[in-house]
Amino acid sequence: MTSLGDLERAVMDVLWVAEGPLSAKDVSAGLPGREPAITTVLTVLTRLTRKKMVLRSTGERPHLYRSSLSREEHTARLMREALADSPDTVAVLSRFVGGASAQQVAALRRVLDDLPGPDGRAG
Amino acid sequence: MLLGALGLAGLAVLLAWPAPRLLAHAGWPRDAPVAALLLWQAVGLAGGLAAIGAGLLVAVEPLGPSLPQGLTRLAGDVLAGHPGRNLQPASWVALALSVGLALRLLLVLVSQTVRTLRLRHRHRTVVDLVADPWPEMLPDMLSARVLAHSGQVAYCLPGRQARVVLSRGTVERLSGERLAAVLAHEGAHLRQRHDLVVLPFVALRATFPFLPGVRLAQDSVAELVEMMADDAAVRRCGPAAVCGALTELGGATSPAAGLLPGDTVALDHRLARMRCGNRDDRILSTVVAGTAVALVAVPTLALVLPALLS
Repeated sequence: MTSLGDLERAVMDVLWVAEGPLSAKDVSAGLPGREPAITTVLTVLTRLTRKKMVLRSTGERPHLYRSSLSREEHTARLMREALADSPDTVAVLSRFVGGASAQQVAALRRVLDDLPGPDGRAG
Repeated sequence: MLLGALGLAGLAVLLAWPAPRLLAHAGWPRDAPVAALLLWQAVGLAGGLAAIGAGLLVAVEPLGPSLPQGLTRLAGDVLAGHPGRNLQPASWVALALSVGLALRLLLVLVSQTVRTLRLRHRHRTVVDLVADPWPEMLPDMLSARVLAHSGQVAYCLPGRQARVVLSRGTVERLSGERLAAVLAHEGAHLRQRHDLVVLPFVALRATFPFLPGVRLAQDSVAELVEMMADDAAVRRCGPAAVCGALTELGGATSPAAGLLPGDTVALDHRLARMRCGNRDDRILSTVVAGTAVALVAVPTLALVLPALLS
């Protein structure tokens, strides 16, 4: 776990497998290998909150942290963005082969429909 | 000068639709994609300049024998606090239209750039956290990620922190050399900064969505840029690997898994030109590049020369 990027990914891994919100201390305990300092973990959690990947509870301390979306939901969203055919997509990224095939779109739609959205409901 | 304005207006109309239509349906760009790209850029630039120039010529016609002199006179009037002294009513309209057009083009370009950068940054941030890093070192300091999804995508995110992103489905489906071909293709996009080439055409389309020529321009430029990346991948991995990757990811082998019509045509073009061998028509490239330069230079010189000679 050398770089900041690796640490951010490790923290996300901990949050993604957790069953509920965690405190910074719990997150630190869940990291593999030698635990980094709590201040480091807090810095990473703050960065991730700013990136809207992590939600922090308000009110009493210790603050609790949870991921904003599951890893699968994020992945599906990225796939959908990459396969979209909007003028924005043309400018933002460059696909190897054109747009999605009809089957790919249908399959992706099925996956996305089954996933619970941010409000907990499917679709 | 009014004759000049008419000529410029005619040029603008020509470059708005008939010329793009001819260029978009021509076959020769496949033999000289870089030069064809230059020509498209010239068509876009010359079209915009001609439209703006026509209005300016009409506006400053009473102020001087040529455009530079007329503009200088107008600037002098503005600075002296009497902008309308020598202008006629029609001039005001023409001036407003020209300046308005120029400003709108600039504004859309800036806002499209900002929007693109923002969306790309957001996408890359999430990719870096959600996708797995590529397991081995890649040539050219390429930074690649693997998305845990069974679907098949392969794309790149240009910019200073560029990324190539492949889905797990892609990585598992393609053999080693075909995978290398995809990476080489995407790497070429990043190295040659094709995103900077495409962006002005996206902005042009956002400014004039009603002009069919700009849609043709954007689609053609996108296709040419893919061909250029294909060429780079072929130089590194050979045509078989690149064609193989295109066929597998494009689903072209299975009629049931058809692509959208426009994409199928583009895919066929790309496959066909690679199967026909090395395309590097130097003479064609030189002629086309010369035409592109002339398209922008000749009207500009025609406007500026009378002032220089007098």
